[in-house]
Amino acid sequence: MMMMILRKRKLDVQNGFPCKKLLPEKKSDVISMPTEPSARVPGAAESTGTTPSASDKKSRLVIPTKDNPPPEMSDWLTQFQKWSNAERILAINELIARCEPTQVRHMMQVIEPQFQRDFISLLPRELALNVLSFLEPKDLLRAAQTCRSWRFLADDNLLWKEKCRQAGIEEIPKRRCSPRSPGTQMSPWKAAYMRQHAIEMNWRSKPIRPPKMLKGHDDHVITCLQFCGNRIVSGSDDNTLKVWSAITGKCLRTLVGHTGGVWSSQMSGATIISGSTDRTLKVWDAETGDCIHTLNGHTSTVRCMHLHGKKVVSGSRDATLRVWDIETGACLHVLVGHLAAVRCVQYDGRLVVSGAYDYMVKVWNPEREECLHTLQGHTNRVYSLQFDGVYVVSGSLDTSIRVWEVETGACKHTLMGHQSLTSGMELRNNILVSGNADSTVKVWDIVTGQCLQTLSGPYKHQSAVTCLQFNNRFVITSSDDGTVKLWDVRTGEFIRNLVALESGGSGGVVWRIRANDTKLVCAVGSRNGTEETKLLVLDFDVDSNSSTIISRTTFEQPNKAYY
Amino acid sequence: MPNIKLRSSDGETFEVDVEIAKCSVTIKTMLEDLGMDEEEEEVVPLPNVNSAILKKVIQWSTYHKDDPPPPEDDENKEKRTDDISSWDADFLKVDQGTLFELILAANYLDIKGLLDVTCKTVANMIKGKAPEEIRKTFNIKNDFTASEEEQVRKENEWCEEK
Repeated sequence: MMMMILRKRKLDVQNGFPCKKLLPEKKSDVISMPTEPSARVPGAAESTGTTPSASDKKSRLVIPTKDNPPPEMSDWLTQFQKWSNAERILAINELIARCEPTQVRHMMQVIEPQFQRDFISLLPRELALNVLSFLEPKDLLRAAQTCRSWRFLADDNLLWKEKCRQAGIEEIPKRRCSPRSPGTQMSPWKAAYMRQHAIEMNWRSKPIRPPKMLKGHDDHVITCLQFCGNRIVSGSDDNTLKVWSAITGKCLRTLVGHTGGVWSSQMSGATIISGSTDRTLKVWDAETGDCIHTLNGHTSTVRCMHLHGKKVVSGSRDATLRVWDIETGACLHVLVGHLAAVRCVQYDGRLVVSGAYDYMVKVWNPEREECLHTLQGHTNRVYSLQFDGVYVVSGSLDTSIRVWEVETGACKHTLMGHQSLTSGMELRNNILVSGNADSTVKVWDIVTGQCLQTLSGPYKHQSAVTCLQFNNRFVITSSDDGTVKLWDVRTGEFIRNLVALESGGSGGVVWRIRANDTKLVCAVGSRNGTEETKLLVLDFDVDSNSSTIISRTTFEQPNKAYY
Repeated sequence: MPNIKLRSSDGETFEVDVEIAKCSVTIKTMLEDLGMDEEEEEVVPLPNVNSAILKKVIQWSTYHKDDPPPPEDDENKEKRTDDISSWDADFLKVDQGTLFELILAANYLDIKGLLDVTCKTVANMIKGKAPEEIRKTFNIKNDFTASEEEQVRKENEWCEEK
């Protein structure tokens, strides 16, 4: 054994690797332990596999490091470098063949990073952004967390503007300054996206905050509901309308004057128009509560109306429609032709479309007081209408929904599938959502006439659908069963109940709903006293305490640089 | 079909069908601008592309020579990454270094189809990974301070359903 060590030392010196140089300065640092086979340099095993004796102060460290290589390595490497490419490759192959699996794995770990590229940090900026543009928001957020340079690029404002555009966010909401220090402020488009997503999650799954309760109209029915900006207007068969603040929940005005129940209303800015069983329409100033005009002319209940600009078109049980100037209070036109009560009306500023209890839908030129088309086909009363300037969609007690071309008057589709009266519909971008007394809601493509989704299943409404609203994500529906439900408009899946009255099933009903991006207003009550008449206001905004107040203060100074 | 010669940065010359070479808008413009006569034995120098990468680019262009011209970037088109053809996927089973150089070459040579598919491939390597997995994939050093990391984490929190 001693002979081997001596031989080795001799070898070291010959190789020009005097052990002395490799020794640590302090003696105490000399580690002495048996060498494991895997740490041996191939071919030198017999000389290193020994434990130096304590007295042998000049022996080198047994654990090889870069500063303490096995003495023969230099030769070995020099030899390698002398070889041609082909020889080297052969040598590498032979070397790998002699390695144990753990050593090959080690090789892989050393080699792999050499073939890795930090694309995002190393590519020119436009190319890195091009790569990132293929990522979804969720992945961009994770990419931003890897390192500084990735964060910088993954937060790019234009990148997020594009994500916003894809998500239908067209503008940056006016919002308070981010609490971050200057220079590191989040991209406004990213902030807008994140806010929208957080709001969507508030609708979808976060715990619902206790709603504001706006009590009024005693035990009467709320027949119509408007919600615009921060104002809510409720109309009731108690002959009044009430103006509420959606923020504080306070009743700001009670509009008193009608001598019969209010059954229809419209709202634009601070102007409110109401229609009543007292045969009149009234124009109100929401701020002062004053009645500006009383519009006389109809000889029976004013059941429906539609406001466009300064003109409102009203439909009455007297089978006529009237066009009014809301500024002067003058009756401009009378449209005569229906044979029974007019139940629904739409006006786009050019044409008037009306649906009536005579089973007819009529298209009118209001200026010429001329009926352009009578859309015949329904076999029962027409209750609901939608009109987008091209298509007229009518819902009837005959259970069908018909799609008509307004120019030709031709019936394009008859949408079959509902079992009862279609009470409410909403149409946008050729997608129609219909709520029916059969307790289901259907989503249709009115161009193809296909029913895309039926909102039913185990969580469906237990009673007639009373009202609905939808956007590009959700459908919100209310029902006589006392619930308001949220559905996914694309998949038709039930998401959850937004409201479920305890009195639901025993008399409590939701009559009307209105929603904007962050708030839901529900008119609820009962006819049997189980549920007090009131409005519920649910807030799904992020950071609801500060955002509304602070956004007002920053309203005057939007950051134009980002538009 | 007439051929032209392309010379890589390391001096290797490739003889390529003109129509294939014209997949590259850069080469196409060069030929038009310089009025390079296809009869002549001119060599197009490509000082930004080495022979290994040029070989790959020619391989890709040859396979895709009959593709319809790439559509202009449609504003309303959603950016997808799941539409890479199996041939392209196979073609791009290369190490990151090669992929990196292919992106640079596709950009320099202005070959939109190749640039798109290579960038999508990198995007797919990022997709669905946690930050630490992304670092591992691309050998990235986390250079955030502890407090920065905490802030970045908060700032990029994604509310998941339920």
